Amino acid sequence: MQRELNAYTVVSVLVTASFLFIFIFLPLSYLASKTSIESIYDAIFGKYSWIFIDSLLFSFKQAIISATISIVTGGFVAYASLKVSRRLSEALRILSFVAFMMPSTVVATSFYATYGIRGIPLGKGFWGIISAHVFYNAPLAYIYVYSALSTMSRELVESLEFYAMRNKLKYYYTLLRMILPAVVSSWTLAFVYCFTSFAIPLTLGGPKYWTLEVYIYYTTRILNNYGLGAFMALLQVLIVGTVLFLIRKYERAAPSGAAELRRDFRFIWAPILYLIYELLPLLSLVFHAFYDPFSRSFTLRALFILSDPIVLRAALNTLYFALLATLISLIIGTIASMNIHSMRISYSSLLTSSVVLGLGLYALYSDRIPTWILIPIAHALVALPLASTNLYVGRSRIPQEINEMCRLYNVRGVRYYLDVYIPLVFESFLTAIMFSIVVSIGEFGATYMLYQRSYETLSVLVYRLTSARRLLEASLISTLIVLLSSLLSLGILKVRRGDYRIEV
Amino acid sequence: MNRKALQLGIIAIIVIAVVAGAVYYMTQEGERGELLVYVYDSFMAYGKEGEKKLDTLIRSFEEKYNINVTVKKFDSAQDAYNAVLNEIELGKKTADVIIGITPSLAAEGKKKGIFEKIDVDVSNVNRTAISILDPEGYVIPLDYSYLAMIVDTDRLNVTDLSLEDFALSSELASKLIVINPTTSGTGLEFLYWQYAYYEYILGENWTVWWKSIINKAYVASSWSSAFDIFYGDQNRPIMVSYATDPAYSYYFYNSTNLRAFVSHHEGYYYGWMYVEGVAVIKGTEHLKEAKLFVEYLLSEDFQKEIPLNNWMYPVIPVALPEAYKYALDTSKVIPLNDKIPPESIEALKKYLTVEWLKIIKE
Repeated sequence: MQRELNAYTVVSVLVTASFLFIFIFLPLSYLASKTSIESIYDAIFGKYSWIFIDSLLFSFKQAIISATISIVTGGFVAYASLKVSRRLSEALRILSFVAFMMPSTVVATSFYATYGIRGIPLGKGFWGIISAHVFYNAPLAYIYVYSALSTMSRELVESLEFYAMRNKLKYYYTLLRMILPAVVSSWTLAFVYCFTSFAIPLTLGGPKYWTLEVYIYYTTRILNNYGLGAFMALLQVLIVGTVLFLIRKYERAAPSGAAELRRDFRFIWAPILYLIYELLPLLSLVFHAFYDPFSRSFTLRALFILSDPIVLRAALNTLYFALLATLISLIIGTIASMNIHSMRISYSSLLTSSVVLGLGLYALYSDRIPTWILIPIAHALVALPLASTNLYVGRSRIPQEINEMCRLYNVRGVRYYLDVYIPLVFESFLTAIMFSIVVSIGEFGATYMLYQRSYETLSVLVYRLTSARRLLEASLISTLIVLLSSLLSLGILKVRRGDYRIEV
Repeated sequence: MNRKALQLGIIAIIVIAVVAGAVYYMTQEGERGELLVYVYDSFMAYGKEGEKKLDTLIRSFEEKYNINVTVKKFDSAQDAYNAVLNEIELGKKTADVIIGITPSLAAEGKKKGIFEKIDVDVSNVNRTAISILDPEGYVIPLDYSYLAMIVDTDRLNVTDLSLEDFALSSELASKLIVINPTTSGTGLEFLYWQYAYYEYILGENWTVWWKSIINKAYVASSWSSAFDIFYGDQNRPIMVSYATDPAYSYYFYNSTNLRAFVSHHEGYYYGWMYVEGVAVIKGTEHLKEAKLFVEYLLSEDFQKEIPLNNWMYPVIPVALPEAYKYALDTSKVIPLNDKIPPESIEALKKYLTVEWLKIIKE
């Protein structure tokens, strides 16, 4: 029996590793072969090295600022909402999860429509990039810090609060130390997300604010300089890999307490501001779908775009890519979820940003695999860590006795999967499907690197419309995407019965 | 319904939808024809028949010569050219013919050795267009126009306009839409024009103009974005576009509110000729078919369709439609293209775009 188990483990590891080897490491190696010492020298010391250095420094600068503001905001709101009411903090947790899952082009459009078009810095330029990143990452911090705060030991919190009456500063310092792993983890994750962000700087920053991702896109797809592009892509993988490696050092198992902070309604302003910050851009999409900011009048003109063949094609492409990506991530995710080793291997796709992923796939496979298969493969790779983790969690919840019984009665192979596995991991299975669909709908970077006009997705269409300042149409399509994305996110929460973890 | 059935049902629906989609995409891609042509997606698409016009013209070629053609469309000519370069660089199969090559792309492509010299009769092709695009015959002109500043006179009543006016008036600059030269072919050609005019006609540093307007003007990412903004934003009635735009406006909307301007100095008009050409990719296995295709593009059958579908001037003598009397009179315009010799265009492109980025980032 032990031998049989080992055989399953080997197969699971081999299949997962092969999939990632073929679609991540081979393309990355191919990119590496395209770079040269001259490209590296040219990038760092050449006549135009300032663009590379400027983009790299800007990537770090905006990521550090965005992550820091996100953690301070999200962390404080988590604390404040727990001080106000448990029910309120639960509601904000749902909102945070839904906001975190929103497609990046839609968020960029909503910030531009709400603030940018009115000349408010929050909607374009440097602060536009920062504020859109905070929209995503403050919810991430909220979820992490909320979990850390609410699972602390009740006795510990009570004694701390008693102590706080005498020394507030020491109270906050001690509290911060206790939730430090959550703060560091969420800051690091937020940093990675902001560092590899593409759609937001591209839409809100324009040519003035280029991140490394935007420069990789420009160098490879506009200047055709694969040597330089490949060097930057590998540098980006190295930076992200290092950061993700460091995050492991701070991982701690969550304590299992049920702390209650002492109620204090003076903190109510923080959850209210957070609620406004997260909801206003999304709600304003509905408004801007029918309000023309140029003529300052209400109109139903945007509705005409729904009958445009371009929109229909983009909707069908989006649907098809999402389904194929879901199928791929379910198959590989199920195999990867068979044991902890293969599941961890499936996390390797996090090493590459979606732009680098798209670039690698384009460089190596664009003439071997049709675009309509390559795009869903890219989406599946982005969704794989979420799918495999959910399926792994589901699988690990199958009682050991049932597995023992199956072994005893020789129920294995396909029969085991059909009669035992599938019914028992149903929730995880549904969650993995919904995660894969929501990730695929919102994916922009890899799609933009791979697409031709006939394979345009709704996410890319929203970017094009926003760039052309066709805000009515962009807002209308974004509204539909927001609705779909929200429904799927709420579906995930419903199926997971309040499990808000965002596994990475 | 039990969970197992539901779960299997979900998988079945996904699988069926995926298979149906795959069949659809395979049908759409179709069989690869004998001749693979890369073109930007708006080529010949601005007429009353829209994108169908190019399909009709291609079908006509296929029937006439019994040659199958597969057309692959890209967002811009630059994208199509980039795809060819990428595919050659990565050792992949690429186009046999590419349409939309501008003088700068022609010079760049020739330097990289990706074009095949085409032996076709160009005796009746516009000589200026040939000399600007490629006198050596690797890239053959298909159509041409001049870049211009287009003004909606209903929103801004001007009778005279030159590039330097924007540098002198920030109010005027705040009404202007320019196009990002790092992402758009039209934007890049405009940068060449502005550079040549400032450096060779006015004798001033070209960056002065950009530094004065950049915080006021709107930088669109592509020509079509600029066009959408021009019509969407009432406060931006001037855009960088083409000399034939007023003719388009008259033809479709019976409107004479658009006016096109080129720069002028000491009584002379200075413009930038925008020439589009066709090139055959070196190493093609269908050289004979490609040559026939180029000849077809230069035939009267094809050229007479250019004015009302691509809104450019044909390169062979063809009667122009009535609407063209509203286009800018280009007979007095001196093209500045010769100020930038083909051999220096690649280096200049890098220099200009990088310096432009520096100005933007400042």
